[in-house]
Amino acid sequence: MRKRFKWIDWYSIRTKMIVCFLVISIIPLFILGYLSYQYYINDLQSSVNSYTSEVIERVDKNIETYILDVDNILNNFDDYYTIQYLRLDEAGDIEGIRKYTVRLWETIQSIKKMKSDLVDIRIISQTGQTISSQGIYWTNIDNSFYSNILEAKEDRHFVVKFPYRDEFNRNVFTIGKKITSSRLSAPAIICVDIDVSFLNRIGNDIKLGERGYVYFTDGAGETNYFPVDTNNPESLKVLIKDDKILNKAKGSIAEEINGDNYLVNFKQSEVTGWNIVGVTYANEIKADFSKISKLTLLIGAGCLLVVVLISVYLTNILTNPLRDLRKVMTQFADDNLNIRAQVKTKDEIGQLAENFNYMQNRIKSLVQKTMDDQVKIRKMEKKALQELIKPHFIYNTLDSIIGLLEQNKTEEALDLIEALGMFFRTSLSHGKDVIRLRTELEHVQNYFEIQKFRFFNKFDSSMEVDDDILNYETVKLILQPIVENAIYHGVRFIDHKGIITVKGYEQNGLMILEVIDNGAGMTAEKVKHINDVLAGKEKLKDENDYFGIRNVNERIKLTYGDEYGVKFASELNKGTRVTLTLPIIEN
Amino acid sequence: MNRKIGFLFVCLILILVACENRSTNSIRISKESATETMIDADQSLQSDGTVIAYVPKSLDNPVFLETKEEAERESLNLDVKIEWVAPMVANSKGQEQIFEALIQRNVDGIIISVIDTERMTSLINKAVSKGIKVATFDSDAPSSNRAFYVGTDNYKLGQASGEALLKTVKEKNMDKHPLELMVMTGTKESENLEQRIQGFKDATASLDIHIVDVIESYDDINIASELLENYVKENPDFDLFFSTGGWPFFAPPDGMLAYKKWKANGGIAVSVDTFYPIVSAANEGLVDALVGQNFQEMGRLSLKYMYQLINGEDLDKQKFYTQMEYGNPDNFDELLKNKNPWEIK
Repeated sequence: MRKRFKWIDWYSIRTKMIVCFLVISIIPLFILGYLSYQYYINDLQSSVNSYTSEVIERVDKNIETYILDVDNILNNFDDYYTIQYLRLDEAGDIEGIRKYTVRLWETIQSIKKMKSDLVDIRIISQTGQTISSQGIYWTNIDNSFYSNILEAKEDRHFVVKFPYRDEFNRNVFTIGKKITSSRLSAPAIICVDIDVSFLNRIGNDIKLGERGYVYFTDGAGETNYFPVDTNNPESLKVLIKDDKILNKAKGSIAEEINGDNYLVNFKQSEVTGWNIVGVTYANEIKADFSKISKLTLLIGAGCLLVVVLISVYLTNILTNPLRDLRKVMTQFADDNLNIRAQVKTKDEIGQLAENFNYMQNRIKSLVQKTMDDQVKIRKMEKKALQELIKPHFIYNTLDSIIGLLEQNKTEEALDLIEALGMFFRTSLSHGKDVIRLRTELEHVQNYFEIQKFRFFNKFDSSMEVDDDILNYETVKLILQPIVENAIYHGVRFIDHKGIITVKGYEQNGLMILEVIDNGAGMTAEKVKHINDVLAGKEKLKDENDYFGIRNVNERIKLTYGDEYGVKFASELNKGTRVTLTLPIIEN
Repeated sequence: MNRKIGFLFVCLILILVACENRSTNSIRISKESATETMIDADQSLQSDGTVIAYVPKSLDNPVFLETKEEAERESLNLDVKIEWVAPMVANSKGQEQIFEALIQRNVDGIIISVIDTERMTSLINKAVSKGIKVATFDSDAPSSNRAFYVGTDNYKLGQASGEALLKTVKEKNMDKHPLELMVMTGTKESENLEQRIQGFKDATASLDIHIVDVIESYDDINIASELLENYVKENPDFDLFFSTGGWPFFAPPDGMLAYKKWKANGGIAVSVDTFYPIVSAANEGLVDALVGQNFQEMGRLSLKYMYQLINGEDLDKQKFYTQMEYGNPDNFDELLKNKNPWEIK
């Protein structure tokens, strides 16, 4: 994984910012998407229920309107001609009934033409003789439908018969009512047969989802009208058998039949007494759910893409100055000290760039200073060395060696030569600027040996240096000039035996080296003057004044800083203490 | 920079468009057709006693009412139940459906005036095979297995019509030159009407007659007079008119101006049927000769023989011809005196 995306710098601020942006954006996006999805699903379910209820109401209303319209037609058949026909039929007046028979046929035919769904109108006398658009025939009125009509208390009350196939093979449902007249010995019946295609039209025009359907049952739950999909006749539609449909005026239930789930809305028609049942396939809603899920995911993916793009874009805006700065820093680190950050923004990054540029300037000046200091140190070392090998020092030493040889003091001469050789070798130190304190002390010891011989042991020397600090680093050739001063200006001309002691110890995190003599000493003014010169408080007119100690002091300061250096303490005729303060650096 | 912002803006717009509420698509109104499962057939028609169903060509043709009424009278004597079922307007398919329904109901007997002989023959045979007694009246299906036919000898009816026309043509001295004849019939598929036309042709074979048109009234008395009037308006130059039934003269002839003019100009018309409105029209000069049928006799005899058949009696023959009635300007008044005006309106 990491290898595949190795082009991504996982630890960069840019990556972190992109991740942060994405996390900050995706979490609310996910929550919003989830809530929206849930809301939409609930809304959809409620819409389906509401829509199905509306559909059923509409179906009921359509049927009710139609049936009331038909009822108006029925009401027109209690006129003179109908009653007269029935009277003559009762009387068996075969000739007299002719006119009324023809008129009824014509009336029925004209009404049929006006209402295309109306299949027939039948007038049934008490004997069962029936006149309709199909002629005259006999009807058995001893069944529940006709009994219900005849037993109806109100003349205006009509009874609806559920869809059936009539005696002429027509698929109809029937609305019937009683015809009563004082001129008739018994009530007659008028029936209007309506083509079930009317129900078909209502049932088929309004579909619930892709495969949902509406059907009708009677009050006992028996199916009266049930749609069949002609395009897929093998796909049998399900009859919902649930007592709730029969016992409640309206409502909705969820049913599971043979593993399939259905949403069922139902209503009992007040006019017909039928149960109008609307069946919606739950899996169609699920399909909608699935569509919504996909849409939500698609939108989510789109939003994610946008968020990524925006994140990358914003991150680039924010991090590009940083990347530029980093590039500049890299180039700077690669020794291009002249490059400068070109960040124009006023924000923190801009301020950082300004600070960086300032730092660059500082570094550049410090580097320059360091380089200058190094040059200066080199010069001063050179001077120190030149001072070290002053001709008269060498001549005198060589004279001393010659003198010893002339006195056949070969052993002593050899010691002196060895000391001189060691002295110079240590001076060079293989070209190093800094050496161990141990080496510096050996160098001073050799110098002591040479000078004590030259000055006929006019003075004694001692080394009191803690072993702990022998390996600490020090600038080379810093003790010898001080010791030389102690010899030449301290103990050389005193009338008693001089003692020069070199001390070394660690104090308060500093390495302290002291050269102490009991020589002539100096006045307080002079000591102050020297210390001021060494501290840079006073300037000298002659560059050769105090050259040795100034050289030591400046090399220490150049190497370790201004807080280090040389300090004099002296008392006239008593002696001088020169203190060198250096940092502790393990070599 | 601006291009990047533009790209992001377009992305956001696309997402917002994708977020548009489409809940209305969840429920669709479909126009797919479907049919209904049907329920058990209704068994509410009476089946007790003997039921004999008459199937005339149509209900709206009043010529059959005389048959119906006479059959009803006869049914009272025989104690059988008569049904009178037919399409409102003559329509062979409607007649077939009604016949099928009667077969399903298994009535005892069916007496039918066949509209389309060829199509009805198989149905008659089907009914007979199921044990239903079938007879024909007015219009026969001779190739079928029907038990008998009661009605006019249609060939002789046409022949008598032709002879009446021949007589009139000769009286007007029109027999010496070619004559153009227009024929109105019910439907061309009707066997009885074809027989009438054939009889008519045979009787007038001595004349040089060319039949210019045969128009169908579809047994509809409401459109027949209008059909005739329109035809005469467009084709006033024919000489002779023969109607195989009385359809064009049932309606009051007040609107038949072109026909009256054609008649006044020497046109000769002969028609079948001698019902009161037809004789009345003839008496007004619209028809020169009439040959009538006896529909009452058809009703009485058909029921009588059907009753015998149902009760297991054998019939001595398969065709029972009813009497014919002749009308001409000499006896139109007398005929009118013996007939009652139709009170069907």
